[in-house]
Amino acid sequence: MRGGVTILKTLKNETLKNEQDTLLKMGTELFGTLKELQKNPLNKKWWYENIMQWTLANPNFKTALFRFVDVFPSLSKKKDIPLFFKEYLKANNLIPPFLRAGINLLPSSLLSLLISKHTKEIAHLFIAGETPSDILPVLKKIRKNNNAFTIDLLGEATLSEEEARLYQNRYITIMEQMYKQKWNHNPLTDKAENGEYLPVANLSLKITSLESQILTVAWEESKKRLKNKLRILFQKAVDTNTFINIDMEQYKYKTLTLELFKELVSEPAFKYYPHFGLVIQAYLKDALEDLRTFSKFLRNHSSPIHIRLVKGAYWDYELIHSRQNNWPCPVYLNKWESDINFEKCATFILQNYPRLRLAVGSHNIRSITHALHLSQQLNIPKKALEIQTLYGMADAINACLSQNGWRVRQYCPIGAPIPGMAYLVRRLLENTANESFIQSWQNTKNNIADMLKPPAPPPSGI
Amino acid sequence: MMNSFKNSFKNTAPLDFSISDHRQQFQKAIEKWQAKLPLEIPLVIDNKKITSSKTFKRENPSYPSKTVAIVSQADKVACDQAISGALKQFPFWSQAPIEQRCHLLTSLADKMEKHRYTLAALQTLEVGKNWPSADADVCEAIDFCRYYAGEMLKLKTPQLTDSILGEESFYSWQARGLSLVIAPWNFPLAILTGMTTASLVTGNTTLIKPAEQSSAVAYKLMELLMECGLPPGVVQFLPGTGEETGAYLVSQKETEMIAFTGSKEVGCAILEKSHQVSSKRNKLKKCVVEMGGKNAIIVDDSADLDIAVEGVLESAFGFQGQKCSACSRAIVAKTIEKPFTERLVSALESLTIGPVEKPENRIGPVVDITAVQKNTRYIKEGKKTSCLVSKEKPLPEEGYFINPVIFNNVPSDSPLLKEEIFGPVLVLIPFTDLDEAIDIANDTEFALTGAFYSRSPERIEKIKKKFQVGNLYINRNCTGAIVKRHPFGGFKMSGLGHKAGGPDYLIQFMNPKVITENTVRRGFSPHLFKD
Repeated sequence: MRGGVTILKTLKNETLKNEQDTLLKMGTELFGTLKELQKNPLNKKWWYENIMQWTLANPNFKTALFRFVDVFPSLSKKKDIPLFFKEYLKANNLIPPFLRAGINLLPSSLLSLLISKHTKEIAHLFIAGETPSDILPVLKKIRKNNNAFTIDLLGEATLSEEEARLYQNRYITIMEQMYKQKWNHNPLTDKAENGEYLPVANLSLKITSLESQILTVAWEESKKRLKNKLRILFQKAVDTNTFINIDMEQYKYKTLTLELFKELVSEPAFKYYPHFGLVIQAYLKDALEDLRTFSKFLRNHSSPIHIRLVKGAYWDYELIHSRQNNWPCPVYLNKWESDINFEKCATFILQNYPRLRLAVGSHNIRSITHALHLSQQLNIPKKALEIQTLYGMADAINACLSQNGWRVRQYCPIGAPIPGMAYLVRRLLENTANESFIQSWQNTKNNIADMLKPPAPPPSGI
Repeated sequence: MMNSFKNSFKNTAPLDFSISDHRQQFQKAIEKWQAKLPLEIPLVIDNKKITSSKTFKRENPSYPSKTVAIVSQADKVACDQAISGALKQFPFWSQAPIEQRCHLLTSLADKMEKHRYTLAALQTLEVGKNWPSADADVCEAIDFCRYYAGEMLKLKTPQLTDSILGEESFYSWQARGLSLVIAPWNFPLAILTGMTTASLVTGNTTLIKPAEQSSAVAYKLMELLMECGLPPGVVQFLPGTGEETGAYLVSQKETEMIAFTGSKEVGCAILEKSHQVSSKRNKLKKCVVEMGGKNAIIVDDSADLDIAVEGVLESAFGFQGQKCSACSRAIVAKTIEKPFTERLVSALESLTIGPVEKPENRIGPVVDITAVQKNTRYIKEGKKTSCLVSKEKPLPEEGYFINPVIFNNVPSDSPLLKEEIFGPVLVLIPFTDLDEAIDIANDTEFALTGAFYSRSPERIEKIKKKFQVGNLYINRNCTGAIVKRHPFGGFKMSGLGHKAGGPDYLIQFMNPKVITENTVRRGFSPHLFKD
């Protein structure tokens, strides 16, 4: 009996090893040239890269700089700009050497101009534009590079019905404008696995933008109001052949979002429309269970649902909010736990193809390779899934993937400076977190085999 | 178990209304109460319930035709009886082991937590608190019990004042005597519990005079105390009107201290009466008073408007502005005055007004007809002299509902800028430079809470030094103080600087006693023998 168990274990270990080997092979094929591609900085990124390097070594500088970036757009007086900049960086001698000379010697007006210019430039690296017309050339360029797009509308917090209405109109306007465009059909980006063409226009919605102060305490009423508002947008999506994705936000809205999504897509007008999507956040301990429940619901549903699997962007908020209330923390505390959960969720989604369709929302080449590799093992056609990356942050990864025939969709935010900055600060924070994948990739001499290892707790003693 | 609450105090977790079970239980609790109303609220003297012939009715402010409680009034005879009983119990209670008194508080906390839905739902019906606010009040009450129990244990051991040969000098605390607690209706369980448990755990026998508008909620405290084994006479429950019962109790010379939370006018009257020294009255009563505020929030041009608008909205209109910590003045930088005002006005307009039994209603009624009349008077005055920027919406036909209002262009001598209205009335004041804003903010007889929204580190430092309030908040709302985290209390006309839910509160309820012993006998002192 024992011998039998050992044999099984050995076989299992061998299978796992074989899997890891084929995964490694696939990952190397895909991303072997990644480091080379990333080594050529475009000129306009030089300041950004220097700042990123400095922030790694100086957490205080990072906090100060990002707080400055956050307040920057609301500084209406030009003379305030260098004042604020100095205020934030004065403490603890935080001004990095390559900036010190400039800050001390330049006249205030010129300094103001430079700071504004550079901050705006950084913003433009990650925000596709301010209005739908700004963004059109950007979208066309993305498609020329054989990538698809999804649009996210940045905005101020919706605090009133008036603001909710304005936001709703923005969503409608963008759907109408996208519909009017004559897009060239690009089989690389637009063809699905069944040969049909996917909608070119792809829009992400946030329920908090549509309703001022959602009250989960008034569950039925809140759900009713949100459904009424979303129904209009869903109908517009069907009329304009737009793909609609519902974003997932703070944990307190998760159950409500899932519930109203299920109810809406079950309505007669929408149940045959195959272009609706939802987000699942892998940093949530509930994620896999939510997927299982959702999958059960889909047994009686007529169309597939697309799932954008992401790690989650509200980690700090969830930790703080749950601690302040003495509630259990809904997110994993360690990055490696989220990474493992990401792979479990991706596995579940792929195993439930074609009912569920996977969009891998990650820049982590291990997470990406794991999903793509598994999809091949499950004989899922390449075009039945896609990888989604953030505009401006993963050009090299995008190139590696699309060159190998995978569909890449870039998540493009549009918005005015002030809300744009909030988005920017979040992205900057993600990119400079010591644990962020991008940092470890750029700053270590790790080889690709190390980067493609399965996620695991760090060895004890560290 | 005794050590477990020494340093391990944790605030009670509020209900998570995104969980359906919490919502359902709250709904059930409301329905259960509705089936029982009206409640009969007796006096409780020496743990005996007494119904008096003179009663008053308390109606549901959302539906005034529905009576929530029929409350017995404590007359002079009842008060005298209560005082006599409490005085008799004082030696026993003040000398009871501290652990026993602390245990009463922790048992009370456990019971309150067990019955949290019942306690919160009653607040919704009796004083018009919406679900989350009612739950928050119950959490605060539980916190007071646990926090003060822990703090009292720390004060148990007399402290050596200094190390000196030949003498031992110890600093200790002892109960004052009979104390009188006069509680408000706006935090009907929390503040009453805070003052009462502080009085009890420090060894004082206690008379409770609850607010007329929240006697039913107050009675729940009394019931739970008795369920926890409160000895008879240690707490006497004496509901009644402020003018009769309250005034009589305040004037009695047997009480050593008065703990009061309420309006400036009543608080000052109590202070005056308690400090009268004459041949008939040779006592200085200790008063712990928390009176009121005319609290300001300053919004700088570097503020994040998303959070500033939301923060001012919550601070000014949460529980219809009926909090001593509520914001009644928003001092806004001129450069952002227009966008701020527009967003605030629209945000206010989006809040639905209606009975608070329905959780979708953010704005409930004010507490009684007097509050309606008072608010209406000030609003009328505002409409005459100032500019009404908010929109008025149709109100439910029944109930003490008034439209929350925002005024600007208020003349500097207007009572809207000076007097505490205690309702959903907010005044907007523009400023050009920060020193001006600070002067405006400090230009009030009160000093309770304040807030500052800004992203300038230097300006924040300046405000921290110069904004004269007892509780200052940066980049968040000025309401919702949490026990231990935000010890609460102000100065100037807001109070005497005592902070509830903080480490100095309990000593207000006690007298310090220093006992110095000469340990030298015939030239020998035990200390010298020690090594």
